[in-house]
Amino acid sequence: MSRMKLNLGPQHPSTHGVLRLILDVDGEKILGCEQVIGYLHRGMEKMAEGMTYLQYLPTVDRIDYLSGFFNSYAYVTAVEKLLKLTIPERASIIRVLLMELNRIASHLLWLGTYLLDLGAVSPFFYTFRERELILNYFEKISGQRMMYNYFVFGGVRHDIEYVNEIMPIVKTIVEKLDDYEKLLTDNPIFISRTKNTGVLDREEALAYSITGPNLRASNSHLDFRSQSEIYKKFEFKIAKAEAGDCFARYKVRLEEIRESSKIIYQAVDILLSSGGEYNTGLNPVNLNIEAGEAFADVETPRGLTTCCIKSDGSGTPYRVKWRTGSFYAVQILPKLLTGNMISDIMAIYGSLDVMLPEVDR
Amino acid sequence: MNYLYCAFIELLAKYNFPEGLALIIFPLLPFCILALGLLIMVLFLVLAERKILGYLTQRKGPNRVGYRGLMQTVADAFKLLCKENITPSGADKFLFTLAPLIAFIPVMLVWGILPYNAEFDLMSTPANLIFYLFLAFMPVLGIFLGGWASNSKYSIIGCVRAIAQAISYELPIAFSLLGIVVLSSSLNLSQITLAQSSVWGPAKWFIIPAFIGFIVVFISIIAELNRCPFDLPEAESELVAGYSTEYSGMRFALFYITEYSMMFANAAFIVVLFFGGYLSPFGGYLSNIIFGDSLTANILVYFEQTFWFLLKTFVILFLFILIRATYPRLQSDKLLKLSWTILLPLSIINLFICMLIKAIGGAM
Amino acid sequence: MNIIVTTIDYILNWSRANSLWPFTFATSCCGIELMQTTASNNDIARFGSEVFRNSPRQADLLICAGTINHKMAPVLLKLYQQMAEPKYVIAMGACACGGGMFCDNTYSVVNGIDKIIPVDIYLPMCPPRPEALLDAIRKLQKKIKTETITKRKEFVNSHKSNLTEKAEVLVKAPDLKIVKTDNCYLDYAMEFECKDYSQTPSIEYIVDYESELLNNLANLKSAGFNILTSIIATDWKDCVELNYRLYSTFQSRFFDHKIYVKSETDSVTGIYPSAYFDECEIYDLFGITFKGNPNLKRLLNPKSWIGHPLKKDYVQCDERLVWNE
Repeated sequence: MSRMKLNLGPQHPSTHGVLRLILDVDGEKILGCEQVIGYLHRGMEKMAEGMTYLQYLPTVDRIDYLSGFFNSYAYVTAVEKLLKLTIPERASIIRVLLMELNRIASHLLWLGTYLLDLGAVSPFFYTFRERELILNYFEKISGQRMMYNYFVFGGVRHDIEYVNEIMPIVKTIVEKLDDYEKLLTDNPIFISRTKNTGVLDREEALAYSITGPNLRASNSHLDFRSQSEIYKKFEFKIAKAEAGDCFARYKVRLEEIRESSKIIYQAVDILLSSGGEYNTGLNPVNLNIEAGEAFADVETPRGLTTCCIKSDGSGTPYRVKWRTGSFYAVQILPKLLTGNMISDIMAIYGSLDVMLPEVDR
Repeated sequence: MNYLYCAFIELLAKYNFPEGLALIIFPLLPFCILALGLLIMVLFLVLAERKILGYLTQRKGPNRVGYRGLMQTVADAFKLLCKENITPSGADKFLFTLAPLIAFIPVMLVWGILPYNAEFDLMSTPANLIFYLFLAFMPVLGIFLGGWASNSKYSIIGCVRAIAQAISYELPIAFSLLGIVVLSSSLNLSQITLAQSSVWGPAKWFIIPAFIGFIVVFISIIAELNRCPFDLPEAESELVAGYSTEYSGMRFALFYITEYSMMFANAAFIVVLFFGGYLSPFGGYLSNIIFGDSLTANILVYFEQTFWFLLKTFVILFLFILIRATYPRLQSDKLLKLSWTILLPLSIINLFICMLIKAIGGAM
Repeated sequence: MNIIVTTIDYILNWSRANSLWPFTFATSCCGIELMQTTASNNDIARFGSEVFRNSPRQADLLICAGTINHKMAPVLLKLYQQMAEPKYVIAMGACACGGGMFCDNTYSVVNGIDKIIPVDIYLPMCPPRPEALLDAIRKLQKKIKTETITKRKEFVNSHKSNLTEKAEVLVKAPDLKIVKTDNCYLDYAMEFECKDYSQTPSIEYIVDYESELLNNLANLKSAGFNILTSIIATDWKDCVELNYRLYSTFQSRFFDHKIYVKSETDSVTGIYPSAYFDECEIYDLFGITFKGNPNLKRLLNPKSWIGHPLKKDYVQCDERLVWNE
């Protein structure tokens, strides 16, 4: 086996979607890599220009289907900024609660599929079992398992129900998390595959605009939740690790699940003890949006998502731009992969938690 | 053999067949039983793995086809048999067709070497241990040829990995087996089995003196079988399907069968070497205890020996499946490092321990 | 004779129906529900379909889970052709059935995979529940059990010629035409009023092309704005606005640096490496070229795509998309 070009994807079992990597390999060693994206380019940004603000709302869940609430939140907040609308406090707490639940679900799916990429079969089934608990709850309140369309301009669609059921779900998941750690954190094979592979230092991560857990695993504190208005009421730590390798990213995500559970406990307490409006009662059909632009930033499980809406005063957005975390995580792949072995591709690529629809939009 | 032979002749005489017929049929009979057994065993081994993996991950596994899904793998086998055989345009057509056969045929022979009971030992040559090792290596050649002939990059990487893995793990196995050879003073699998017999059941099983050897052989055999966590040649999440990427239909099925029958054969091999083969774990045989020393008892003993043999084998197989459900896959470079830096020295230490034990035993 | 044929048919259909090995093909949202179907709560293994083969050669069932766009369409066709007979297709999700949410208003989605490959079972929903997928598999099993050898052969022959025609259309890509305008160094600049959208301080530059953008960004970077979160491009019909959105981890705030360009500008990849993908995307969607970008290419659309879709005057005119009508 001498030097050759290896074409990985666009249909490959562990690219989780349709990423194509053109690898330059010497035997098993990777000398270079070029990424080709766009196999799931659905023209979401162009689509917005032909739809009203309300029509576009259900589709934003599909930008990153594992964290639909975050996309909804970004879009809805941007429109609210254009409308200069303040939302009721209860609505913002409901939003935080659901987003954090969604973050847990997303990280659980990541854990399962990551280990599947590394060749371990069982954790996939275990994490999907726990994720299903959250999805069932989401379905109860919104009617859909993945595409919720639950946040509306000025609040949420219905008042939240079955709040009592959240605590047992989250408690089970946190308990099971300890089981996963028993299975994985001390597993010599898992450690040998993830420790010191794909090391990303802080400066490089910042230069390549990496955000989210991937950045926090490289010894950074940057978490856009800490600046967000709606998270001001909640106490939580920012999960962080120093090594910057795949194992650090794994630890950060597990830690984030625990921290999210703390936010959820607080939110549930507030929701149970107090009432209030959940919606401003705005008629979403005919919105009077003036010309202008608005940005909404949210910390999703995969980093910073920004929704930028530019309006020219008509009923449809003039331009909608989505900035997503995975887009930049894909960009850094050649840097991380070069010099590693073929079997490290999955360990590194998987640990970045790339969602292809978010990359291609 | 005499008891069974007599019984067989009696059976023939009962239905008025000439005695000469027995001379022809009787030697062929074991081979037919073996081939049939192999097919059934592989089909149900695959099913068992799917079922056990299912239950380990809180699922039911196949349960719609036949009684509780028992016919699932039969359906799979039929389907593969009738599926289109595609030969990729850039492939070496002759080798592409030959490779699955090269992998599959030695497996049939491997099954013939194993002593299933005191009489059912078809190829009992003085040094069939070495013969076994040789044949057990052959499927890798088939894999290598197949991967090379496919003219696909994934296949090439898969087959090169397979050959590198086989070479590095063959050595620790060979060294550990030397320990067994020293302990039993024989290269014959039946005699190795008999050397482990004692009145106290497992007391003289070779796992006790050669425990390190057992660990080394167990790990190396999983690696030889290309099973998780050493399933690099067909690493599904890396190399699509590894060496078999371009194979479809019956040719793929042959690889599949090879894999699982080698799994069974190697599990049985471990049982012969370390767990007393077909010997009863209680010292005496239950049939002898119940029926005394009658002809019935003597025939039943054979079945009982086979029963113990299979039971022990299934325990080992279950361990294989359990390990598959537990561990992630190793990296390719670390896999080779494990063999050369840890397993090989361990197997040499094991050899010394065995020699020491033998020397002390001989002196006493 | 008939008895023999029907018996063979029965056995074949029984084995094919009960051993549908799916191919791991998932592009988007439905893929997650497909994974959920294999997981513990739904357990596709009960029907003998948990043997997901990663190589199309060994698979019987192509569950097309998710949206197929024009870049992916040739890949899907090729994968389907690589599968060995007998092969079956389930179009999972509204996108695969007929474009779903993306059938209008967008330029890149194929409205239904049946325009490319023959489909056995349609499973619309967005996305279908795992139970629905199990039902689809059961329905497919029922369908297989009614097949005969001769019917199958006719079907295969009829679609084989069809597919090769389609493959030819897909491969025969029109030449790449980039409409090159003269290199005008921003002879027109436009000011656009926008106020009071957030507290982030922003400056708007009507940039003199030569140096100021790079200088400004270099200054901003040394002032602590160490992340270029994204470049937001907007087509204002007579020029394109580029908003370099910076973030400072020291001051915890954003900074918008806007310029207006006609068709060409400097690449900032030297200062912020993360701009590489952004610039490629803007080149693809808006047709702005970036001088100094290491490898400016179409990022999202196929190489042979004509036009720049996010321009306001974009009209779709590509021969290959005929089947999409």
